[in-house]
Amino acid sequence: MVADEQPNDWTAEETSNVHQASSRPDRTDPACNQAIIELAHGDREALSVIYDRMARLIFSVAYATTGNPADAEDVLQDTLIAVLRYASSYRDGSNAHAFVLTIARHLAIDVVRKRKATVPLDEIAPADQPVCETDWSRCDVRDLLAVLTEDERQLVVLRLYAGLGYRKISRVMEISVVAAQKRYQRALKKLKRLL
Amino acid sequence: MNRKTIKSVLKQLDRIPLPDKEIILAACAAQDLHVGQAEPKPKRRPHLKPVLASLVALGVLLSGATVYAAIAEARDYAAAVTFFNTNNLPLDGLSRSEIKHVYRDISTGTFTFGKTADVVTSSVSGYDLFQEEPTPEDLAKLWQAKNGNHTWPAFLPGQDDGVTYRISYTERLDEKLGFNVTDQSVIQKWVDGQQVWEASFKNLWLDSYAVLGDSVIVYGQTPTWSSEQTQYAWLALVDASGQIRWQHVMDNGFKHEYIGAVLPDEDGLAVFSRGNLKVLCLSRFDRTGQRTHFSQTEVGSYGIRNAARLADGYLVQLLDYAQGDRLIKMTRDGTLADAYTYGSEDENYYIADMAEFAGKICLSAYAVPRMADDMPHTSHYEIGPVLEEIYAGKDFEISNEALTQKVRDNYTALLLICDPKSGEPQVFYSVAGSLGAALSVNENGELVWEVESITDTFLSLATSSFTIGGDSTVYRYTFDAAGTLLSQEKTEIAAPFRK
Repeated sequence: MVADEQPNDWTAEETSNVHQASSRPDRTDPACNQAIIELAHGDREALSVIYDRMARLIFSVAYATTGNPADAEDVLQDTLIAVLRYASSYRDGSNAHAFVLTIARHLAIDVVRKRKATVPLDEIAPADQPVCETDWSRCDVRDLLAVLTEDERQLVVLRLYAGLGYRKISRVMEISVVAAQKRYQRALKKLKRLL
Repeated sequence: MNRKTIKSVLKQLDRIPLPDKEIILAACAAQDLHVGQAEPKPKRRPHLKPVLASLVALGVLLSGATVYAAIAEARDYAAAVTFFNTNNLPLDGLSRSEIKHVYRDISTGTFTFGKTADVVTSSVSGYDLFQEEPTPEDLAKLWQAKNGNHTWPAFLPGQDDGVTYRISYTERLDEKLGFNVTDQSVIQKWVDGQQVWEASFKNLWLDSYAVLGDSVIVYGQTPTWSSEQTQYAWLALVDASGQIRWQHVMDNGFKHEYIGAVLPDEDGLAVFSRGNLKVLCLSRFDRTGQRTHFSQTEVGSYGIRNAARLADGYLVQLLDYAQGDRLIKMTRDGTLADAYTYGSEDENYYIADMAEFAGKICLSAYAVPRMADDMPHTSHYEIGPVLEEIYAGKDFEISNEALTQKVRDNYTALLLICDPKSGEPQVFYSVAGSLGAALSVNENGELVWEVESITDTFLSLATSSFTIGGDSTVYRYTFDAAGTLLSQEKTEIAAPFRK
C-alpha cells in the first residue's frame, strides 16, 4: 500500500487544515458540519445555521484579536462570506468548528495587520485605568485581554471561553499541540500575576 | 486570579451585542460568489521603472563571479523543485533556501535539517478516523462492570473467545533465611469460566506466556533474594492438556537475564532476551525444547517490549522513554540489519504492538506531546503536559470529567503502515483521545487494530504505581490488505488506563 494508491489528496488536506473522514459526522457539531456541506451544494440558507451556532464564538475570537467590537462585527461578516465561498473545500466529517474558526482568526489577524500601519497601538487599548489589579470582580474583559499578546488572547478565548481542547486549538492556530499548551500556560501565568 | 475567575471575566464577551442576524445574512447573500473559482487576478500594466531597475540589476549580475553564483543557485533550486515534485513533497511554507536545504538534506542522507522532518511527515498519507467522544452511557457501563455482578478481569481485552490464562504464586517460609521466598508459580487455563488445566513450576518466577496454537509457552526468571545471586531466564512448553513437555533454564553467562518476547518460528520458537540490561539475545528452540541457535548483540540500555516476524527475519521493539521506542530489524541469525525510531519534532511515539501484514510493517502506537529536554524520562513523561497544567493551576481537586478531557487531548492513537525495507511510514491512521493497542489478523485475513478510547480517568497523586488511573473503551478497526478501512466496531470491552 503506498500513498499514491489512496483515493484522496493528503497534501491538499494539510493545507486546508481539514481531515479526511468522508461521510462521517463532525465529532463536535454535526449540525454545523451538515450546514457547511449544504453551503457547498449551493444552499445559502444553511448560513443561518452557521450564524446560530457559531456567531458568538467567531465574534469572541475576533474581538480577542482585534480588541474592538466594530472590527469583530466586520470579521464575523467576512467570515460567513468566506465560509460561503470556500465551503466546497471543506471535507465532510472533518472539524467544522476548526474550519470556521481558522478562517475567522486569519481575517481578524488581517484586520490588525492593516490597522497597525495607520493606528498607534495605544489608541486601541482600553481607555480606563485597569481595575483588575485591585478588584478582579470588577475586572473588564478588555483589561484582562490587554495583558496578553495577540496569540495568547486567542488561546485563552479558545480554551477558557470556547472550551476547545489543545488539539483543536492547535488546528485553528496552526501550531503544534505542545506549542498551544506552552503558550496557554504562559498566558495563564501572566493573568494570575494580575492579582 | 484563578481559572474560574478568568472564565467569569471572559463571560463578559456574551454581553457584547452581536450584529443583527438578518442584516449580516443579507450582506452575505448580496455577495456575488464564484464558489470554487479563484479570484481573478488584476491585470498587470507594464511599468517602466521596474523594467529599468531589472535591466540595471541584470547588468550588475552580468559582471564578475556573481553570474556564476546566480546560475548555480538557480540550477540548485530547479533541481530541488524537481526533486520535490518527483517525490510528491509539499513546497508550501518553505522559502527558496529551505527548499534547497531540504533537498540537500534528503539527497545526501543527512536528515539533520529541522524542516526536513516537517516535509517528510506532511508527505505521508494520513487519515483521521472518527470516533465518538465518551458518552454518559459508556461511563455507566464501566461503572456497572466494576461495581455490578461482573468481576473486572472478565472485561479485560483479548478474552472474546472465552479463554483466559491466570497466573498466581505461592510462597513458603525459608527457616534458614527467616523470610518468605517463592515456592511455586502456577498458570491455569480457563474456558468460559471453567478451569481446564493447571501447571505449576517449583522455585521459578513466571513473568508471562505466549500462546502457540493449542500449547502455551510460559517464561520467567529464577527467583532471587540477594543482589549477589544470579538471575536466570527460563521457559517451558505446556501442551493442550496442561502437561509440561519441556523446560529450559538459560545460562548465557549473564548476571541477570530476562525474556522479553517469544515468537513462533518455522521449527519451533524464537526467544528474545536481555542480558545484564544491555545485551539483546536471540535464541531459537525446536519443538522438543532443544536450543538450535544463540546469538547476542550489545544494544545499550533498552528494554525489550515486543517482537514480530518480518520476512525471514525479525523486528524487535526496544523501549526507551527518552527517545521514544526504537525498532530494530534483525536477520534470522541475529545480526542487526537496521534501526528505526519514530516521532516528530513535537511528539514522541510509543509502540504498543506490531505485526507484519501484507508485506508491510504495521505498528500500533500512540503519540504524546514531546516535553522540554529537562523533563525526567519516566513513565510520567507521557502525562507530563497534563500534570504540568494541574500543578500550575494547583488544580488537585480536578473533576474526573475535566481530567479525562485533558488526558484525551494528550493522546493520539496511531497505526503506521511502513515500508519493510526503509521502515518509513507510508500511510498512517490516527484516532484522537486514544491509545493504539493490539494488532492481529482475523480469520478473513484482515488486519484488526484495537484502539483504547480513554473514557474515564481520575487523579491519584498518592498511588505509587500510577498517577492517573481510569478506563478506556476498546474499539476495533479492520483493514484489508490494501490498507483500506473496512469497519469500525465499538466493543463492550474495557481496558485499564494506568499512567
